[in-house]
Amino acid sequence: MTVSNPKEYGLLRELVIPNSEIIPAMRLTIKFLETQAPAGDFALTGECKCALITICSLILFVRFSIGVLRWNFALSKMSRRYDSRTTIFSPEGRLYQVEYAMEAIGNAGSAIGIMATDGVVLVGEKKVISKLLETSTSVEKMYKIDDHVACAVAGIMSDANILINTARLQAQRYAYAYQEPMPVEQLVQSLCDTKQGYTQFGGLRPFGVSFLFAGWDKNYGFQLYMSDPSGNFSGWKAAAIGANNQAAQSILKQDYKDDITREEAVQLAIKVLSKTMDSTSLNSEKLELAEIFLSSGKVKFQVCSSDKLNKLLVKSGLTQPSADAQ
Amino acid sequence: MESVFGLVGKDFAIVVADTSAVHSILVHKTNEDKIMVLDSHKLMGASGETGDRAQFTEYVQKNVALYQFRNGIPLTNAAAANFTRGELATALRKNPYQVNIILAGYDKDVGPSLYFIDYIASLHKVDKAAFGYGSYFALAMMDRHYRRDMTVEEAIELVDKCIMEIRSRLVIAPPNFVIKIVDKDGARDYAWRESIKDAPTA
Repeated sequence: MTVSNPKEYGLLRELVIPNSEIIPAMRLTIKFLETQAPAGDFALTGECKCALITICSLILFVRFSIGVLRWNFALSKMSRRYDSRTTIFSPEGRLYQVEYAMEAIGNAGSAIGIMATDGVVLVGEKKVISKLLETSTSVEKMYKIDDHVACAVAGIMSDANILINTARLQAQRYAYAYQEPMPVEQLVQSLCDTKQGYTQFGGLRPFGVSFLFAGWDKNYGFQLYMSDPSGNFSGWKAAAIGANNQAAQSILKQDYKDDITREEAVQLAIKVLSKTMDSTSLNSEKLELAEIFLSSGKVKFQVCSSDKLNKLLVKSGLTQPSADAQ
Repeated sequence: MESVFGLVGKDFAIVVADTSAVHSILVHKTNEDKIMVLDSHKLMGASGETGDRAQFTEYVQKNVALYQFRNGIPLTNAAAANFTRGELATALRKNPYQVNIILAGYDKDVGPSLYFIDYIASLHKVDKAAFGYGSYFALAMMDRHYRRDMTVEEAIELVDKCIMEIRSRLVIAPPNFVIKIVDKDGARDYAWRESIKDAPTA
């Protein structure tokens, strides 16, 4: 068995170090007896030394055996807290690792999705904004899964990439089998099945990712889904994930109308994000905007350019027009 | 010998099949239903090796049902046809099913549709299709008399012409036929055309 835990390592030290001290202690004792004993009066004979060594080795052996027993016992009991395994319930019936994964998402850049009558709007907050950063695309958290589905991500991006890859695979597998686009809910379902697996089968940590899926299919039209690391998903008219998602949800709850247009939805999403984001001023570098809508009967996924985004922000009165725009 | 054919009408599709179960020169029964009702709005007429036919049509039927249970929405007829073709194509290079299929269905948004799928996994969306020895006569009759905007009565008249032709021109003509229809109200039996009754079992 490998020692992976500092606690177990501590146990090992406890067991090894005192034993190694026994031998010097034994030598010291012999030396002490030799110096103390006046010659001729009390001679430290060979037999006497031998007996002493035997006694010490006996002590050493017993201590070592006890140590090994204790160590094995500690391992078999696994008497650590209930958060060390992803797949074990705590006595209160909670899965801590899954909750921690959700906590990880609470620190990530937020994303908001709003369903409109004529489309779905996704807005995301970019957390990494360094002038030195060179990304392959300007898009950080909006991904196209298939021609009719896109998603926004909050959480650990490396985990998200894996899940997006499987989502794309599932969508194409479906299209291959049935020669028609995969219904949005089924796509979300299949991805959440994958996520759920890591809350039940041991040895691996859950995916620290929440998604907002926006899409269109012929059965239910425009749809918006939210999913979390536990593998739960649900359909929403407006939803928020990531940092400050509860504040965002409550603003959305207040301001959402059922007959909202896509344009209004964009404005609402920007407004919500401006209120819930930590940074004081909004600009196109901190935002990402994508829309899904029907254009001449076909589903279109469009990511807003930074120029257009700046104009939108000026229009909503959240930023001043920049010098060169005037 | 076997005859399975079908056609698409104005707002319905019809599938017809003979009902003879034969082996070598022997007729075992004359009321074998070779048209499987796949789900509420799909019909699958099949010809070919008896065992393969039973096995494969049931396999597709159960998969269509599973899809509906899992996803809450039925498979469209086009999707079912492509799924069937895919299954035949994968089986083709392993242990092929000897079945030819005529798949008829009705979708709310698309209307009626008919698919021709043969045992070497080719798939065609067609207005009329036929398999088996009867196909020579059924196809000829349908080429002559078929119109896309036929009513149910006109289509049944055409089907009866086809059956008549098969019975009178084919040496080894099957005696009985079953006719099934699928439209907006669902897939169901329409009629049987019987010239022989199976002797009732004691």
